[in-house]
Amino acid sequence: MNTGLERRATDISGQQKNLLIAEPIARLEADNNVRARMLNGAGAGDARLDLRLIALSMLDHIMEETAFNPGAVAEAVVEVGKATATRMNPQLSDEAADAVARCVFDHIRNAAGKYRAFQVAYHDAVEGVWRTHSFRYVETISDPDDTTVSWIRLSDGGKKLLLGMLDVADDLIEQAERVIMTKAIERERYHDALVGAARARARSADFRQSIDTKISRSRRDWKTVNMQGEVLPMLDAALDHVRERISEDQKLVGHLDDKIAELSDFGQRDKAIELRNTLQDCLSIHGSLFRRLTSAHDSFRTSMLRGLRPVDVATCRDPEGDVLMPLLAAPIGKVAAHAELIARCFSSAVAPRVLDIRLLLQEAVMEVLEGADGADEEADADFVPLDPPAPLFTPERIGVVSEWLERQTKERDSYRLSETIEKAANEDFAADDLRLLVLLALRPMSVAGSLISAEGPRNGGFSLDGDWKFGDLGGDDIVFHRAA
Amino acid sequence: MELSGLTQTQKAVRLIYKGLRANASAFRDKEYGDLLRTWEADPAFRLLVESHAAMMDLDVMDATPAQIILRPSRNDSLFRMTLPQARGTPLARTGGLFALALVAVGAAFFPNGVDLAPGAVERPQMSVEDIEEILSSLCDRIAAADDGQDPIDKGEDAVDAWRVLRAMSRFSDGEVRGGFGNRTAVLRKAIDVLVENNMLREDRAGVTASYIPTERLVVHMRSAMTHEIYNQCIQLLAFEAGDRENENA
Repeated sequence: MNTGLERRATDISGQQKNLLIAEPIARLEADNNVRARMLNGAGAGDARLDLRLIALSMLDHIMEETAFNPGAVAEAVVEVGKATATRMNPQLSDEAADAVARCVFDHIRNAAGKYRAFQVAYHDAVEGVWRTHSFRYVETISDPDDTTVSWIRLSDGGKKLLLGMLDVADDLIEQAERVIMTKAIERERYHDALVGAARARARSADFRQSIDTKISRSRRDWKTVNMQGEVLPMLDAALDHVRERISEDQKLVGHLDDKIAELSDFGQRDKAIELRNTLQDCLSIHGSLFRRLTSAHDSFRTSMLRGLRPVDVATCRDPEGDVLMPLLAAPIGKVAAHAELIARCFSSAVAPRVLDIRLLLQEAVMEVLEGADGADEEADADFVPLDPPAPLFTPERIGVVSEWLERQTKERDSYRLSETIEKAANEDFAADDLRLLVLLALRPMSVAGSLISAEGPRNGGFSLDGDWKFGDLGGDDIVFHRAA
Repeated sequence: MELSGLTQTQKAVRLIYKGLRANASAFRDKEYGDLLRTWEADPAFRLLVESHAAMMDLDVMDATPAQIILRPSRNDSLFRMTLPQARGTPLARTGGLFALALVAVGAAFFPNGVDLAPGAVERPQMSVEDIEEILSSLCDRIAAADDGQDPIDKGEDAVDAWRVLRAMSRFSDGEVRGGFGNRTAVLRKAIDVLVENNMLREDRAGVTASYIPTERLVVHMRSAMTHEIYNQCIQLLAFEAGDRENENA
C-alpha cells in the first residue's frame, strides 16, 4: 500500500468536504435543467442572470442580519435577492425578479428536498468507502424569547461557504485576523484591514448566534442542564472572551482615531473611517452579547422557578409510531368517536366568534355606501338631504292673529269658537288667517298633550255645543270657559 | 388597563383574558408582559390563575415569556375547536378524517417523542404536499402488511381509516373548496385551523406556501401524545381491537 498517497488523501479530506458544500449553489448555474426550470418557472425566460450571486447575496444578508437579531426575516431575504437580480439585469420585470428570488431562496432552503439537509455523496479516502455529506445553508428557528416570531439564520454549511471555507479552529483564525488587521492599520493598508474587519464582524455575529442558542436551550431544558458544572463555566468563558474582544476592539478604534487625524489623503481617510465604522459594529455586537451574558443567569433561574415546565420527554410517545399508526389502523367510525377529544387537544382556547347581526348589516351597508374603490363623493351625490317642510304661517302673521284673539277673549268668562271665527270673517280676515285663527283657538286644548283634555291654561274647561261652518272650514262648535 | 389598582384575582382573570387570543404576544403588549412577570414571580398567583381558568373549563398548559398557553379542558367547552362539516360527506366521517388530519400534520413535523424535547430551537418546515406524501407512505406501509381481508363486507363506519384515505384521490379535481373529497383538501383544512390557532405559522416567502410549527404546537402535542390522546383514545382502540380479534377467533 502506498502510505504516502494515503496520507495525502487524509490531508485533503477536509478540503474535499468543504468543496461539497458549494455544490448546491454551483448547481444553480452548472445544471442546465435546474437553471431552466427556475428561470422558466419565474417567467424570466433566457434572461442573463448569475443565480449563484443571487444565492450568495441572500446568505450574506442573513449573516449581516444575525449581527443584531436572532436571524433574518424571510421576506427581507427575498427582497435582497430581488434587488441583486434587478441590478444584474435591469430589463428584468419586477414580477420576474421577485419570482427568481423566491426560486433561489427555495433552492438554498432545499424546498424541493422537503427543507431537509442537502446530501452529497463523496469518496472517503481515509476509510476507503463512499459516504454522504449532509449540510444545510440556512435553518428556520423560533425566536428564543418571542415564540410567535421565526427567523432564518445560517447553518454550519452556509457559514463555511461565506467565511472562506477554512477548516481551522475559530479562535486561531480570529487571532490571525487581529494580527493582520493591526499590521494593516500600522502600514496604512486600510482596504486589507477593512476586509479583515468585515470578516471579524461576521465571526462576532456567528459567536453571538452560538451563545444565544446555548442560553435559550439551557433555559428551556432546565431539567437536563447541569447549571453549576456546564452552564456557568460556559457563561464565564464566554464573558471573558467577549470582555477581551471589547478591549481589543476599543484599542483598535483608538489607534485608528489617531491615524484618521493624521491622514491628509481623502481616499485613505474615507477607507479608514469605513474601517472604524465596521469596528464599531463589532463593538456593538459584543456589547449586546455582554449584556445578554450577564443577564443569562437570572433568566435561567426564572425558568427553573416556573411551575409548569415541560413534561419528561422520555415518557412522551412517538406521535407517528405510537399514535398516528394505530389511528390509521382503526375503523374510521371509532376514530370519529374520538374526534372531539383529538380536536380539543389541538385547540388553543380561542374565544368563540360571535356574529353581531347589527354590526354585520352596518358593515354591509357601509360597504355599499362607501363603494368598493372608496368613491365616497360619487356615492354621496346620489343622496340629497331632505328639505324641511316650509312653515304654513309666517311668525308675523302668527303674532298679529294671536294678539287679535287675545283681545277678543280677554274680558269674557266664556266664548264660542264659531263667534270668534264669524267676527274675524267680518273683519275681512283672509282664508289663511282664518285657518290660523282656528288652530290658535284650539291650541290651549292640546297643552296637556291631548285634545280631549278639559284643562287649558286660560280656561276652566270647554264644552261642545252644536257645530259651525264657514266657507271651507267647519266642525264641532266649542264653548271655552275661563277659570273662576 | 392600569394593573396597580387591581386585586390579584382581577389580575388573574385579566391574564386568562389575554391568553384567549392565541396570536397576542407580550412583546407587543406591555400589560400582558407585566401579568406574565407576575405569573413567573409569584407561585400563589399561578395557583389563582389555574383555579380561575379551571372554572372556565380551561387548562393552563405553560407560559413562555411571550404568552400564556391555554387549552379547553372539556370536549364541550365553549373554547373548543368545532369540527368542520363538509358537503357530501357524512358528519361522523368528516370528524374522523379531520381528527386524523390533525394528528397526521403534528406527526409529520414531529414523528418521534424526542423531537418534542424542550430546547429544540430549530423547527422543520413543510408544505401541504410534503405532509400528504408522508401520510400516503404510512398508509402504503399498512397496506403492504395487510392480510388482504375484504373490506366491502364491513359497514361504512367499520372500514379502516387507512383504507378510507387510500380510496380518496390525492388532489382536488375541480371540487369545491372546503370539500373533504381528497386527501390534500382534508390536510389543508386541518392546517388552516392549526394556523388559526397559532400552532403553525405560514411562510409564503418561497414559491409555494410552507408551514413552520410554533412552540404552542410542541407544548400541546407533548401533553396530548403522552396523556389525553394516548391514554383515552389509543389504548381504548387497542383494547377494542383485541376484543374483535377474540370474537373472530
